[in-house]
Amino acid sequence: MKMKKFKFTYNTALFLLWIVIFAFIGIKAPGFLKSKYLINVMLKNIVEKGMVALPMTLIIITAGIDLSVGNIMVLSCMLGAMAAGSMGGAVGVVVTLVVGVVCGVLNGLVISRVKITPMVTTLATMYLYLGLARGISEGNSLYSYPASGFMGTQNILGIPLQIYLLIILAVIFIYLLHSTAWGRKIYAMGLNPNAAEYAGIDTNKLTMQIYILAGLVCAVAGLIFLGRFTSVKYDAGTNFNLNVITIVVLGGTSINGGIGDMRGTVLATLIIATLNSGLTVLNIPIDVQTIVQGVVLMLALIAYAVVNKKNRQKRILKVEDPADGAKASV
Amino acid sequence: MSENVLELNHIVKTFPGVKALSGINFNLRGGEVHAICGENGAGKSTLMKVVCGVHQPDSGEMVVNGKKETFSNPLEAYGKGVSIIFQETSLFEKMTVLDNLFLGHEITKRKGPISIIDYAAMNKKAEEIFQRLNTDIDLHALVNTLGMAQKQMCEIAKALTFNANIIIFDEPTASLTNREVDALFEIIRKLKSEGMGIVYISHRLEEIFEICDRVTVIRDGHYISTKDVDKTDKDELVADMVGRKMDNYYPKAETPIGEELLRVENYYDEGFLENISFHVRKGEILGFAGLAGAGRTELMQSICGITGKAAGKVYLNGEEIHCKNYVEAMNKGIVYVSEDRGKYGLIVDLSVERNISLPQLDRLKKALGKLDVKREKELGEQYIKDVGIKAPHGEFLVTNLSGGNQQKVSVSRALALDPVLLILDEPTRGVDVNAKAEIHKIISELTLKGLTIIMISSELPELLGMCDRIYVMKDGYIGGCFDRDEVSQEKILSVALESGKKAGEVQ
Repeated sequence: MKMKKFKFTYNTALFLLWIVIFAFIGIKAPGFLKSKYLINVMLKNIVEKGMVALPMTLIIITAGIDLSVGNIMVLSCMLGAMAAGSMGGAVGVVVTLVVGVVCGVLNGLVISRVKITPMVTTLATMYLYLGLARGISEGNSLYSYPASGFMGTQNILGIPLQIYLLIILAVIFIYLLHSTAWGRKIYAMGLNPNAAEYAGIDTNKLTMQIYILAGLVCAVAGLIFLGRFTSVKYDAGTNFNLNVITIVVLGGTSINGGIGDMRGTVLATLIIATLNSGLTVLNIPIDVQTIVQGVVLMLALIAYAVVNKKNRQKRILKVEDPADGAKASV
Repeated sequence: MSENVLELNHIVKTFPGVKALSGINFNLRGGEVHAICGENGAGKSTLMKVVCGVHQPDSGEMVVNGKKETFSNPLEAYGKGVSIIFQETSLFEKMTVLDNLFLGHEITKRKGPISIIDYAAMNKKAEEIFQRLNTDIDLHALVNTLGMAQKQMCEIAKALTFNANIIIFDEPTASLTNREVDALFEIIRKLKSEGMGIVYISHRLEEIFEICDRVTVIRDGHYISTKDVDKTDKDELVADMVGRKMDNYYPKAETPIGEELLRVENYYDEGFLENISFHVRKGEILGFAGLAGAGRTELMQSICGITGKAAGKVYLNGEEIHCKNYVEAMNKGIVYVSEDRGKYGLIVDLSVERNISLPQLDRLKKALGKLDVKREKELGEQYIKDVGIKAPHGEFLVTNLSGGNQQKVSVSRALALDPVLLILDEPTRGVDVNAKAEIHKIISELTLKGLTIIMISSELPELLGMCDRIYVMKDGYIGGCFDRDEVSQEKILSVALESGKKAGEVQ
């Protein structure tokens, strides 16, 4: 009964899309294909977003959303930098991580205990974290310290440390979502939270876990971010939130929850990275770049709808035999 | 008596897997109140939904005010003078009474090129109607400030704004107090004297004798009888509703009944459940009968720790237990299978095996939280075979299975947890006859394997055929308990249908 046949999935489509974009830019601007450029510009620029997109995928699969990730990132690395200034780098790193977790706890608590929808909750905390970052820094820039500089600038074997980190995190998150019992619960919750609860799944606990995880990853991204740019201002995370969500959606995760693929998110990260740096290489003005991104996202979502519709039709065709059997026995 | 305003001839309606209505005949005259009664699930509400265009019949003919009609939506039905007043009101809470009355068919006037709502005209018409109904509800009050009875009044008024001459009341007194019921009857009598035809659906038999002229009984989607109310009595109606013949071959196995497994004493919760005590012995199938909303589901869910706080004592094997959440109950071997498969039971977009493994994901964990996919597959295959789920393989999506097979997945999922006490809530709801028999057989076989089962059901033949003992619930308390050899449908119904006061005295 088992047939191992090549299935044209959305991930395949994403991969092809990436190859096409990559090849197109490579042909137009051969300079783009230099490994130095690919690593130091293309990949390095996407690391923070790529990292945060991982827990964001989990959140969106549970039918939630987190609009505050960019602000958690900025707030945590700012407070960390201030702590590092007076108490040293180690304390700075710890403070950064703790702030990230605390922000995640707050999001999770309001969503799971007070039962306010994730969209509204994180819209509010987005402003809260933004305001806090501004108030605490009094609107001034805060500067990198050695520990965060290490995260943002260190190379190992010619490849920046943060790229290793991104790869490790991606592997962990793919494992978490697709191979563990925990990941299965995430899907169940997104598909039907009531039924999940009636199956003994503690959806409140699950909600807490994923938002805290998101906060923690934001803090790690914050360390890298601060190290890479050497200074950070309170409003640095403004576009970050929507960019991350764009990656997740492009990766084939349904905003309605229950459907999604961590590998798709990783592929989408690569596509966005290629587009961002590739279009710059081609000297395409920033406004046109934004339009291109919008068009690519639109095309991807249309492709997604088409692929899914086809799969669904196949599924329905498959049903007929057992249904007939049931009829015959009546 | 005047002529028929509504005639239904041989209405047939099927849903996937179930024949809800098989050839119902019904006629309603102007100036009469005609009751439709039958057990839960007999098809009363489905029939009325066909009449008012919510459902379309598969075959059959409907004559409204002398003309053959088919309604494709409720608005068309309203336009032809058919209005329905549902159990739950369909008013918009945050809008005013007046806006609600005319919602979707506002009176408009033209002001230059655009038409605007003519509030003055609407006001005038609404006032006339309220005068007819003899009520003083403020037209500009928000609906959420009104009481239940007033909301119902608005529903009736809304029907009248459509100039309806056929009004269907679906369980109108379910949430009214006695005085409000009297007021409602006053209005129904008035509407009747104005020549309207009124369909009155209720399973409170006393009310039927008080307000109705004729009564039609349906059972399992079949037309049974139509009688003049003053020429029949309660016993005759109940007999019609349940049917005399017990034409079922319930495969109940004779299992030795052991000691007490679960005992519940003086159990109550914040307002609904009252002073409930019952027990179930090992190997027993214990039935819970009662009308919809009697508190059976609430009781079981509460015992399993799924809903709300409750007080009282629960003993399992003589040991007192408190299940704070459902996981604790599952770990103690108490498993609940919900009546609403789609909403609370299965995740239909997941495969059969994934649904079966869902409640025990934590038991299928290996090192590093890795899910034991092989074991999951084995479980899926095992239950597909043992329970006889008609799915080609474990990866088959539940949404593509028939109702009966979905129910088998629900049961399999519970069995995979190795329960000692299985609580089945309406295990055969929405399932065709054949699958029903299969599920009964499965239940029966389970008791042979030493399982104890509590079964909630609104189908009395099923309870009578399967259960060793039956408790009857009513308004949140237990109204009676019958042994297998002394029970009859009439006895159960007489407890379940008893009006609140009387049953209270009995208790």
